[in-house]
Amino acid sequence: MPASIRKKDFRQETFVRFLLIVALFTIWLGIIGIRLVYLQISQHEFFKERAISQRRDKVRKRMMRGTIYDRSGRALAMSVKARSLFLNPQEIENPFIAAEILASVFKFKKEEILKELLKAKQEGKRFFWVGRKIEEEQAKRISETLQREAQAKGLSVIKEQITGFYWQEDQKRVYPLGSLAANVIGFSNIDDVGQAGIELSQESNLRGAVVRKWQERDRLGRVFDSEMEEKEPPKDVYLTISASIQHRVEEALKEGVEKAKAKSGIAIVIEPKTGEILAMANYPSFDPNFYSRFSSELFSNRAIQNVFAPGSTFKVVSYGAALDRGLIAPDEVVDCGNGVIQIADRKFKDTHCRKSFQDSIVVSSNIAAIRAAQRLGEDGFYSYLRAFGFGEQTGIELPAESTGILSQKERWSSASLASIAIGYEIGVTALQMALVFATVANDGVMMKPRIVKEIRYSEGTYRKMEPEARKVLEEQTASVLRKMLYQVVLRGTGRLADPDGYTAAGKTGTAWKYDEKLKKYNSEKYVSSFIGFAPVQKPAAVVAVVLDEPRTERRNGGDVAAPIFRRIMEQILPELQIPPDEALVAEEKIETSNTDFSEVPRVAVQDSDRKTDEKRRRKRED
Amino acid sequence: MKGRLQKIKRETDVITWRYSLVFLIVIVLLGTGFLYAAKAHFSAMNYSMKNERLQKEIEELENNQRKLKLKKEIASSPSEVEKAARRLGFRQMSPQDIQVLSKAKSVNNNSSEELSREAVRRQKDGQSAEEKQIKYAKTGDLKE
Repeated sequence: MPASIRKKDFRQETFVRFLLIVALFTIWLGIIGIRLVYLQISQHEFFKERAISQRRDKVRKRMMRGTIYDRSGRALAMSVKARSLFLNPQEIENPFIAAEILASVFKFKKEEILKELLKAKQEGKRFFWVGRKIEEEQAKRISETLQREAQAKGLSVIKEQITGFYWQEDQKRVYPLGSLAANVIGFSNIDDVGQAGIELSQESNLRGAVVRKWQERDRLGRVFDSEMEEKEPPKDVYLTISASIQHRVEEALKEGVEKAKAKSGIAIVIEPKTGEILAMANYPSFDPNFYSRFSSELFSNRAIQNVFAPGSTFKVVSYGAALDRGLIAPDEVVDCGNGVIQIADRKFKDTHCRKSFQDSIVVSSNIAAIRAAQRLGEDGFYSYLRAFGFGEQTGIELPAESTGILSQKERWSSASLASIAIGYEIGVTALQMALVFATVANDGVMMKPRIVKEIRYSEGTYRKMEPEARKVLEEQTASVLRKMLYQVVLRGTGRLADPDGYTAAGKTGTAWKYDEKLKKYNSEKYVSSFIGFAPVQKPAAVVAVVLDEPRTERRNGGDVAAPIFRRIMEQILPELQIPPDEALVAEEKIETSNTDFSEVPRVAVQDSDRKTDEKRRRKRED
Repeated sequence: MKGRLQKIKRETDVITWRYSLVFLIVIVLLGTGFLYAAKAHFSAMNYSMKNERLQKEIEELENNQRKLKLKKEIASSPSEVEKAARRLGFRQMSPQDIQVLSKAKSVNNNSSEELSREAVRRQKDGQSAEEKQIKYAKTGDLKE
């Protein structure tokens, strides 16, 4: 074979080989290309999601529940960051050691926690609560102790985490003022859902929504970007309650209830001109921070949920209605026969005969009140009962408010008119009765009671609750009633309610309690009350005090409830910056029934000391 | 032979040089671009991380603020203040402690009165249900 042919063959062979390699490369690249096309186009979404999930994680977080403030911006209920500890029983290497550690740290009974842990493990559960809502500092200490104990006992701890033990971010509801206004504020449960009071009624405003947060991490797991789902943040609720006044009222009520050996007590303070509740106290009460330690009976707000027969305090309605229609005059003498009147099958007794209506209310005459109602007739009297709001909710922003009990007029017996006129055969709440006196104090205008002052949004805007009013009595009627009620405090059954430095008006009430078992009123059990306002000329506050079953020898409203009223007024009026008016009124010898307050001249207040001292001496003598 | 070879002058291909130069410039530009993009990327990452850290710090500070507020509220609760005041020798304010210098009219009272008057006026203007109810009440003909 010639050399040139051999050379040509060699070149051709090399070229073929080269082409072969190129072809192989082309095929290989082609396969890779096809695969890439398949992965990047057909499987695009699937791999995109996987890639995102590798570097992104989703965190679910609950926004902090809104705060409840009093009228001056003092926090009554707020949420703080806390942590909860849970276990994954399937990951726990040695349940015996885990139970031992938990028992020593949390003071659990070892056998009990071990039993529950083993049971959860056996049932295949992956979640087991150990401690919930632990405050951050405490959680930190517990975490460190757990780690130490776990290392000492041979459990694996990786990056400060014990295998199977997990901490979760949480929040805790705290009530910084403890039991103050507990029955008004209520409480929220372990899942941060309102269960009573404002916490329940304002749940939609206070509740913090669960928001999702996406975090992007780099290859070392460091978060470098995050995106939060947008949801409306919870709002803050401002109440009309004043923490300071509430404290004073609660202290006075507590002392009064204990002194009267009563079962329980209620006190309400209302600003008559606005209908704002300044204080609403219940005794005994509870501490919402530890609500599970208390009986659930204490959770109810008795001021709006308990219904009782008002007794003599209700006579204000009877007199007010008759005065408003011009059917009675304060100085008109009431004929009560020989002290007993019979209506249908019932006898109504009275020891105060041949007195004017003015003097009758001073001594709390039953027959005078019945006579006043009788002049109105059933229709007229019933219409006033409805106008005063009996038998319906007042509309206050609190849950489970009772309507009270007012029978339909058609169901009334022949004696119902007389019974209701003196505060029986009707069920009222303390708030309903307080509103009647607030109406008298506010020139016959009844303001809808309010306990929520405003709702504040996170961006700084707020929604203010507007007052609502309705006229129930004529201004003149209210003025006459105020004077009549002033006499009750000055020389009648409510003398112990007279506060130092201020004029006050009000009415005592002592009613028998209705016994569910006996199906009749029990003369052994009383509901004693005093409701009134001060100062008489320009009432700044209405205070209602109701004591359930006082057990002292003297247990009339004037003996047990009136002193509480007095103490409350003496403490809250200076706080409300109301100047003392007693000296001004006393100077003009206002004790006559025809006094016109508007004509009372102003005198130097320095004289008030002398007058007050005289009054104190008089009280001591009484 | 050697001398003849030495006389051969190599021709330079100007076009090739130009291409090479353009190629080099493109490479440098691209390289610079890549470097700049990389720097921007890592800088963005760095800022994002700093941002996240600051966000976390804000959360922690807000949390601390809440805790401090809680402590303040507990410390200044009416019962605590009363205890402290009594310890310091203060006593409960009584009506005698108030000195009226001029015709007394509290601001609160005035604003309350205005509110009350305003509510009544609105009520009258609006011909509301309550008004009708009162009308019924006056005529003794209330119907629900």
